[in-house]
Amino acid sequence: MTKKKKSRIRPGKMVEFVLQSLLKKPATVNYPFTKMPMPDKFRGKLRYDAAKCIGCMLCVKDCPSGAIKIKKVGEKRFEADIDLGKCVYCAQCVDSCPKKALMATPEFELAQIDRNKLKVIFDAPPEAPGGTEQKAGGSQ
Amino acid sequence: MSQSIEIKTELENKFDWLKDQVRITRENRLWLDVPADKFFVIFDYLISLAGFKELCTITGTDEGDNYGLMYHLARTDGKVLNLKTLVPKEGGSMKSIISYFPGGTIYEREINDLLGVKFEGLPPGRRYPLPDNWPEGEHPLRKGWQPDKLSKVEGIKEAGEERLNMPIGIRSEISQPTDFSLIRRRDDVQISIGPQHPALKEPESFNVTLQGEKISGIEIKLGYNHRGIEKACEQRSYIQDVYLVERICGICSHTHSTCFVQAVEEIAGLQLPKRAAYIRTLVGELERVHSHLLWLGVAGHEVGFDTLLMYTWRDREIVMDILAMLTGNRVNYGINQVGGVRRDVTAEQAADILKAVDQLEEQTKYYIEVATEEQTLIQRLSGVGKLSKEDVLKLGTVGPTGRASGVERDVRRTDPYAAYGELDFKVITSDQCDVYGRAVVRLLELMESYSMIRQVLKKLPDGPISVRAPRRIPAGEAISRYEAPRGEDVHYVKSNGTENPERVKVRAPTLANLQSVTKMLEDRYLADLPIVIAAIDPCFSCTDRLIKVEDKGLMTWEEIRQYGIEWYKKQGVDFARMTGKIGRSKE
Ligand code: SF4
Ligand code: SF4
Repeated sequence: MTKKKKSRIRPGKMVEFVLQSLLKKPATVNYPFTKMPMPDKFRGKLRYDAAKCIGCMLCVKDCPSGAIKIKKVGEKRFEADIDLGKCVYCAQCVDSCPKKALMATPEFELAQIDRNKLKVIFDAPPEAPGGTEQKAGGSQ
Repeated sequence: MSQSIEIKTELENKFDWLKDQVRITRENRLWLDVPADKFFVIFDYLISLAGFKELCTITGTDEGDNYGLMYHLARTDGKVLNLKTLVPKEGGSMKSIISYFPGGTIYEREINDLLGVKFEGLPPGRRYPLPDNWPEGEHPLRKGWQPDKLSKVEGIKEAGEERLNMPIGIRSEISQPTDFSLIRRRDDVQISIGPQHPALKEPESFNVTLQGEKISGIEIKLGYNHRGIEKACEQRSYIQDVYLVERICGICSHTHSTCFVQAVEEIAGLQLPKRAAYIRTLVGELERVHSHLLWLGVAGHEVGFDTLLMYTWRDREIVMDILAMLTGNRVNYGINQVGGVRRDVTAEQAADILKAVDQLEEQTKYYIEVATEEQTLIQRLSGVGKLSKEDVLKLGTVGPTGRASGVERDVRRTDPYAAYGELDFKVITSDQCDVYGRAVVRLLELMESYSMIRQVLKKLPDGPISVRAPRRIPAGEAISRYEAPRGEDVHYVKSNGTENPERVKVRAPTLANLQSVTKMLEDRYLADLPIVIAAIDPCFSCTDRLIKVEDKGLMTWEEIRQYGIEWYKKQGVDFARMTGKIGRSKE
């Protein structure tokens, strides 16, 4: 059945290669002590700038997983509530936002044992611009 | 379009009542609605005389008082004729087409399960894709059906008494202490492999009947991964659906999103910018490279050649890093949007890709050398999982599995999409018809992919990477095909003028290929099963797309841990005692 080309068949073809590898550096990285840099376009944890938001709700409408909520907390003051457990890190909200109030950051180590800690609330600024992230885990 | 018009005129000449019935939406796409009583006259004609010898899939739709059944028939030159007929909901049924396409069984079962259309002549067998204990009369793809309705139906029946849900062959014997005399008295033995099994990478179950060590029968049960994506698509907007279909599969994510947006773009009449088409092709080929390298490793692993697994997966990281750099993520690239792509390729990136491709090419050449010279590998794979050319055509096998049996079937060539029409590449085939052939085809395809990536980067046209797409897509329908690493992927999209699609139908390549597994394993040894299954490069999350989400409430970490400990205690394993020392030192 096999097309036999007797002269070319060499058992243990990879032995040489394997022995060479013994002398090479490991191909893996010693995580978490060494970390790989994230690519520029990486879509990690979102950042919300409350000062820029106009409350148009396009991000809420387009989010495929219902992970983001925008709440009106006062006259022209909005607050974002992002569920990192639901977010699929597609950054569609970033694309949809007409005011560039949302941004994807390179932050990717987001695993939590407590589900409540996956909720992140970005407060509206009291008066001054610049949204601040409330303590993680503050689910209202 | 001339050839499409020819088909149309021929049909009209033959059947004068078809005058002006055939619609041609674009080159290669014909649509025809026929009444149910005349369906088989046309169906028969198309297959036997007009050359439509492939069945892409069957789409079932819920249309008021009727069910629509659309048979997507394809020709080797890329023409797809969508033949549709209506079946009344009240007491209607359709004749099965399995005498024409034995591979059509699974498509009919799917429609039967999800919509409740009856098919006369469909042989009895396990249902697909819903679980065996799914309540009767619940058909999730019907328009009015809501997922939350299920919780009101009296829970889901426990299937124990029907020996259904449990894939283990001799179930009654299992639930009581096994009566070995009973098994020994039978001359065949049934073994269940899966849904969780070390040889399988995803949940699916194979019920294998053995005579001695030889397989005499095999029953496949799928659906463990079904996530209701088709239904969910109908409830979301086109923008959201792109990300949803992307998650049908982690390996072919670009495949599904491209296939979907192509269909939507066709309905909306959007002209895809050239640059976007090239970038889609680029990511598509990089995806093929990563998928084929992944397969090579898995195949090596299944035959006990783990060295190959380690090295191919190490090299696969090169292409994963390139994909991450290009799109922003290793898997689920999120590069597609309706109307184009979301990210551009810079000159530095192009240079990096070329460097990586050189490196990969060198490695691949080495693997080709290994595959053609390493005696153990050749002898292990040759003659295993034989599938003849005739069977490929009959069962509708696609992709490298079909090409390894000498069938030159590749959507990139026959029905070009994105930028494939402008690239120079060979369709790799082999006459080996076995697992070895499938390995060689994939390895040589890698070389073609490298060449295509270089061509894309060289020819990459300037210009915009997307056009503005409307949120509301005008009413219409389209069928889109894409050559996934595993074979032809088909998406059918029907729109109704709103922001959400009316129907999205996905036929992933594994569903088409899986039916050939039974054929390949006929009269083979049980030990060949893992590699034969692996050789079609199965992807069951693509194949299955629906599951019921059971609302048990959330369990905390501590509760899950406790649940696990209790469960094992009941089985007689007491972790507390076994790991007392470790536990104490941790706490
Ligand atoms: S990144 Fe995607 S999933 Fe996450 S909040 Fe934005 S749109 Fe939603
Ligand atoms: S899309 Fe932007 S501006 Fe609109 S609500 Fe969301 S964050 Fe605010």
